[in-house]
Amino acid sequence: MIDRSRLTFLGSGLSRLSTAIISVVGGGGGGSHIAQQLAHLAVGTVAIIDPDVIASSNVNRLPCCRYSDVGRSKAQVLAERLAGLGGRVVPVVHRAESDAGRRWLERSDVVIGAVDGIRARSNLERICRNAVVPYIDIGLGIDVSDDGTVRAIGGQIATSLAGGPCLRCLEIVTEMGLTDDREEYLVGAPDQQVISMNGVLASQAVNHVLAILCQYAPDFAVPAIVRYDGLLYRMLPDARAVHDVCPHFDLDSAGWSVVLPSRKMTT
Amino acid sequence: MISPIRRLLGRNRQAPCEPPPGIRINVPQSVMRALRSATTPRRGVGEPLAFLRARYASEDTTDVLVGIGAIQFAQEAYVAGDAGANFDTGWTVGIANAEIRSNTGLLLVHSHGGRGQPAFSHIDRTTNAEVMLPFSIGISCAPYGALVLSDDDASAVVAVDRRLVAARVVAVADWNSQGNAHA
Repeated sequence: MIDRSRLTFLGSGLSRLSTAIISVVGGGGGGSHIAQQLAHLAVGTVAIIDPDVIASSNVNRLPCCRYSDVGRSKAQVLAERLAGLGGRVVPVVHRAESDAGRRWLERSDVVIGAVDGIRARSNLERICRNAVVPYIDIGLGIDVSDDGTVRAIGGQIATSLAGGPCLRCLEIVTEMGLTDDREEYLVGAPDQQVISMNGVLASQAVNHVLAILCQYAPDFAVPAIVRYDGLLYRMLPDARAVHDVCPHFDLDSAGWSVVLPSRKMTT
Repeated sequence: MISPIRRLLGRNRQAPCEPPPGIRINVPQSVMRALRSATTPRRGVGEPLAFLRARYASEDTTDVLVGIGAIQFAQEAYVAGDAGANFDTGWTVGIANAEIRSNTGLLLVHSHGGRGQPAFSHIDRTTNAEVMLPFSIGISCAPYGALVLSDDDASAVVAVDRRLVAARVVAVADWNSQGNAHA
């Protein structure tokens, strides 16, 4: 039996949770926290989309994982450990951009991306915008100088909704970022992460899911971007309007559209 | 260690990972509001009609549709008759022809009011079959069908293989429905 007696503040939107399909892309440091919370909320279906296997360096930041899981699929392990909480947790051991992954994204009520890399974020957002599915993106970066000094800890939760600013508007996806992303991938740049800060961003992303699906406080809009500063111990919405109207995605171009040319033919 | 699911299925088989079957129509809440406004009864039109402009979500996806806009029926589209709404199919053909140039199909929309999940009436089903289904014949690049609204829910059918199949309408949060600027 699912007991939601302490969730009644979510109002009538609570029923939306039990029928919702939420895809979590990435079963790593951020995605594993998100999947865990969504499973505890007994969301109807949580799809964990990740083709990767657990490495020993993942274990210290993946809730539910053990060193004995090294070498096993992240999605499979999470789905097994998060079973029995009232909803369905489905492992999707494919890339999100694959046919199998895209089938889940297009059929989701919300997609949460917890992935490395700018290109992956850009691809996820494009699929979601085309299918008019809300997309929430989280990312954490820890900047350490060569002498080991922590220079900055920054992160964000970006929410990309039809008609609103996109990741390009918010300057998360940039041409330079896409190029650097490729170079980092080629050289295998190390990536500092820690379970506690991943958890901060993941929890806030789940709050955004609740606000979007349950609309428990409709007068308080979900911000397009919330920035996290790990050195100043604060998380604040960033109200900077980069673009008034998103020039990159407009609703009229959503879905599959190939404009047919108008031609005069003779026979 | 072999998981219970893998043990049941056999070690070499993956657990099923397909999303639930069925047709789904993702409609931004701002478009839903526009449809409700366009189909609210007004002087001279007892049961106003509208079209939902719709596309397939992607080139190889025919069971996820996206609603991208609403078209209110023009006054000249209505004709005299006995039913709640009587309209000139010639006007609808003109709209359909204009929309198909951008792979955009149409769902005929009207409202029954009230609360809860609405159902198509006998007359609605006849109209859907005689007016909307023929649009889909020979056209595979755009969806056609019908949608009926209540004050808080919606039901729909979509043409698939010369049949009208029930579809789930999902009102999706969008930027404007979240109380943001430029609404």
